[in-house]
Amino acid sequence: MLDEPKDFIGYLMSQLINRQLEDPNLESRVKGWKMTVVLATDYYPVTLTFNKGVRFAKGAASDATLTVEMSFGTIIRLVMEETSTIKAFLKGEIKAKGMFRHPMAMKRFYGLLNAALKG
Amino acid sequence: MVSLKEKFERIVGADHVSDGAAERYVYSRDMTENPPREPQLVVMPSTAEEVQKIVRLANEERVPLVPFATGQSVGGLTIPQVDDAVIVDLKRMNKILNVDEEGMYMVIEPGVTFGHVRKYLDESHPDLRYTYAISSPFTSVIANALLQGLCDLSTRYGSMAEFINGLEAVLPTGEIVRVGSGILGDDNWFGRYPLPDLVGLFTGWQGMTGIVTKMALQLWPKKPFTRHFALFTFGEFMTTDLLKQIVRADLAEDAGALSFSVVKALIGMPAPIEAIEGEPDYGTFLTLSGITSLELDEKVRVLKRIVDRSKAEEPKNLLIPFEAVARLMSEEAYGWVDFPSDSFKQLTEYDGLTWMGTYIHPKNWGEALFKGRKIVEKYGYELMAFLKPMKGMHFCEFKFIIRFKRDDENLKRVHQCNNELLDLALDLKAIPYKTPVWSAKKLHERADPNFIELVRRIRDLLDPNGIMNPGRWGL
Ligand SMILES: Cc1cc2nc3c(=O)[nH]c(=O)nc-3n(C[C@H](O)[C@H](O)[C@H](O)COP(=O)(O)OP(=O)(O)OC[C@H]3O[C@@H](n4cnc5c(N)ncnc54)[C@H](O)[C@@H]3O)c2cc1C
Repeated sequence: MLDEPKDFIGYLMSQLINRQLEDPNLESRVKGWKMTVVLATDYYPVTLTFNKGVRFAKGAASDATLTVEMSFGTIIRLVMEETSTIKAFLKGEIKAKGMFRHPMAMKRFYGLLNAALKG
Repeated sequence: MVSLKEKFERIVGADHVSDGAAERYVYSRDMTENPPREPQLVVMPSTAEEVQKIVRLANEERVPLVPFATGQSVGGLTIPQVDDAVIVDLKRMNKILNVDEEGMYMVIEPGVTFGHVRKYLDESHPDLRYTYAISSPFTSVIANALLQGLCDLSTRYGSMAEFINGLEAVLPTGEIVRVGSGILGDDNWFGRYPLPDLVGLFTGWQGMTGIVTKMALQLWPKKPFTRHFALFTFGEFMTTDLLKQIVRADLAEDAGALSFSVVKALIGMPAPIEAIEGEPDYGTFLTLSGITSLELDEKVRVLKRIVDRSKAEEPKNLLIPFEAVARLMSEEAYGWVDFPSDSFKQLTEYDGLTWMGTYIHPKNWGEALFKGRKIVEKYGYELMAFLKPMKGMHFCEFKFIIRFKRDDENLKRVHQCNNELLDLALDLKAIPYKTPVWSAKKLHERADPNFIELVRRIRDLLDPNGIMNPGRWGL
């Protein structure tokens, strides 16, 4: 379902999300999603295109449904469960553009991200 | 007339001598670009006495001998430099003879590998540890110490030759000698001093001064509290400066820095690996430990403070607890730091592997890395630098590893690339290690000629018939 990106963050995200998609229920739900999410880290942005699956590409798509900004350090803190997406969001460590226009996309992506980072 | 092969068979038994085409082929080469040369025979002794008889026979017959453990030096160091050599493969001498808990050392034979030592200590002496290289678990511990290699305690204690308490060797003229405190008996290998330090007659000589049949090596108590971190950094100068601060503060037992491409390989990214703009340039694995959790916590606190301070210059520097690395990147991550010998298999992705590695003055470390990177990029190879602060920051190691497909074009290109890297290193007064002959010759051109002459004289004194690994180190 996923191709293998050549960059670190894209590869990492693809591996983590791939693990989640081993659950056939989630996989079939995700296959129905149609959205483009830019994960803008302090290293560089990656674009996740959900369209009958997920594709990863380095760089920021100009037509993103959502742009989620967070540092790689925040990703690590989420993994360590030193913070949660909600807490980080309230503290401004995660910023999201497009969430009011696309609340469903936001809910889906955060849900997937949370699950992926917690393994 | 009795053939040479038969004479060797009388010493070690017919099963342990071969002049078969397959063996001659296998022992004629390694993974590097260094040109192969077939030996005439391979013999496999199992005792020091057999080694002694082999050496005596070689003197009578004027046959060149090449000591061989597993041939994984990545310097072509077991490739014969002259025709008709006999390889003395020491793999059958694979006994761990003694572990002295109180003196904290082990006495081992040359065929003992990192894998053997790790398993044996874990099972029989769980409170003690040795130091592990990133070479495969099947490579020789003694050969690595003789080559002054580096391992996962080198950041604190220096090259592996520093771990040698003493040794037993068969001289090129056939005498069995001991050096170190073991001259007073078998249960007494506690150290090298106060004596003329003759361990140096065997380390760094690439098998030209005798065959080491036994070695006593220091072990260390395992500290009860240990934590590992990964440190992501940017830029050659900033990375080396930060490592210097961390190591000078005596926080880390080990600090092994890798080009980020190596980190990417470790997490399973397929070859060839590109360095992508925006990614960190280096990933360093740090090991911190303490006798109490309080001691360890304090070290971690100071480490965090040093890394935080570095963020004034580079806000993206990031210290990552290994728990996160393991969850995010790979379940195998603890192996990278716990037993590196079993974790860097990606380096042997292709049939070719080479490097230009050196020990260097700390002041030249960043520049070597910066300029070396440009050279590797020019040749289009993956960026695979390995760096280690050595001996509490008294000196440093850097090497650029190249994994490659062994076709004619690559063999030539890799050699040119290594040549340029060596010129750079020598310009910065770095000393190349595990030197293939071409590299040693370049070192000779720049080194104090009296030193080279002294080396030559000692070699001739010990080996009047020139039978021990002749041609090695460009002599
Ligand atoms: C993927 C990879 C990673 C590596 N990483 C590291 C690393 O992190 N650190 C490091 O230090 N090295 C490293 N190495 C290099 C190498 O594996 C080690 O130096 C190794 O331990 C040497 O053992 P060997 O069995 O290969 O020696 P060999 O290649 O068989 O011998 C090396 C030299 O020593 C001589 N010699 C061997 N045994 C004796 C003896 N008993 N008496 C006298 N002379 C002898 C030989 O003639 C030869 O000149 C790595 C190698 C590989 C392939």
